[in-house]
Amino acid sequence: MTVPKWATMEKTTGIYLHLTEKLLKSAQEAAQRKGFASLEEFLRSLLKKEVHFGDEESISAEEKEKIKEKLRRLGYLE
Amino acid sequence: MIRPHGDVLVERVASEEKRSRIQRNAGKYRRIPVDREKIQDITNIAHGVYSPLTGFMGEADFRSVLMEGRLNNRIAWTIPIVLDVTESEAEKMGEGEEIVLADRENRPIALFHLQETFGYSQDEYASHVFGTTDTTHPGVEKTYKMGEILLGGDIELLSEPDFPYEKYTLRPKETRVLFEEKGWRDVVGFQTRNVPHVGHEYIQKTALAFTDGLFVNPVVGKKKKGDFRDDVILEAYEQLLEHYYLKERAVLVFLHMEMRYAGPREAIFHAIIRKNYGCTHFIVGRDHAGVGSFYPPFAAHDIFENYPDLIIAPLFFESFFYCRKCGSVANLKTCPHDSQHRINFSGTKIRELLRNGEVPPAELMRPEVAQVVLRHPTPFVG
Repeated sequence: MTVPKWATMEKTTGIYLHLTEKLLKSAQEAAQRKGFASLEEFLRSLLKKEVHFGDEESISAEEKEKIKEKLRRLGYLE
Repeated sequence: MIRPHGDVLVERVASEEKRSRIQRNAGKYRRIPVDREKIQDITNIAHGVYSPLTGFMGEADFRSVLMEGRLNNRIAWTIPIVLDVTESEAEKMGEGEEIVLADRENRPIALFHLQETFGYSQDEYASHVFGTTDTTHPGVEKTYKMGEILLGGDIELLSEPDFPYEKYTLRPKETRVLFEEKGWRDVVGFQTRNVPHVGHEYIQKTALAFTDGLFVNPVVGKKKKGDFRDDVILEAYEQLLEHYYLKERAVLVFLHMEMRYAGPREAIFHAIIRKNYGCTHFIVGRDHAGVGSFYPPFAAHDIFENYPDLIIAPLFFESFFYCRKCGSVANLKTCPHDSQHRINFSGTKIRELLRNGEVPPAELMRPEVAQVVLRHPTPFVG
């Protein structure tokens, strides 16, 4: 399996996925068909699509309020 | 909310303290003058439009983008974002130096942390990015005018440039709050450099029918001769949105950036930018970001096959026409009638009618939109 360069820089989750042989084979085929370098990269992409990270962690409540004020001033929000 | 490209929404704006320090010691810094297009790139880096870029590309990223359409860390990226200088200018600079990037009036725009200088081949640049070295291609022509040396390094924005259309200029951080406040989970982005015709409206509304909101995001900035002027595009969209769209379902925001006319590569670049703004879907039409006949009409669709990891979902649209017998916009998959009943949405033909002071038929262009163009003394870039 090809390991992308950036994979070595990221923390591992410690989670092991138990897949049936049939599901694993299908997932590997799907990853290959869709052009992913590895099954890991394919699964990561699926997770990103489905997982919602909630509020943007970089925006504080105060900053968000300022942005909302600007959006109201410019007519984007009521 | 969709994550920004590379998982981080970049912000590279210098602190108040740093700005004052640089203002106080302005004379000590070497200055590189930058043109309007470069200032747009700097601002887009600083406000996260180009996330995850934090500055101008170094050699490893530059070469990787050219050869593989990805940054050196494998993240998808197709257009080089570079700062070029001449060989003699580069000789005076030292790696590790802090340099002020200044506008035409010599006002400091950004602090540039020079990390590396490197040479490159303009032929290689043009052939990889534009697929040609033909100088009649506007992107190629510009490439051959670039300096011989590229400078890589991070930037920090020192002052906001005076871009026009403040009302229609939002940063990704702001559009993300906007979409959240509007309750839009799925947002479709629409890139354009044109005044809208009925075909555009059809595509936008088709996409909007299965998403929550439409993000109309025209590119304003340097364009080629014959393209519509920015203020005409603005007024035309204002009219279209006012008369034909639900206010709570569509927003108009400008993207200050030059067109590269890099066809398929630029389509990926455009999708990445809209992902950073918070869009989950992106419309890719026929000959997206193309010019002349340099690219096959659907090359911008095919290239997405190589980028299954983009996350933002491309929505591919083929050619549409108005069918008099159907009484609606249709395409080859939906219309059973002969070509004699069809009117094509030819941008060239519409522009020709408008140039001659004629109102295009209502099947092709909304009258309110046509009137905006006809009222304007010089609607096209000269």
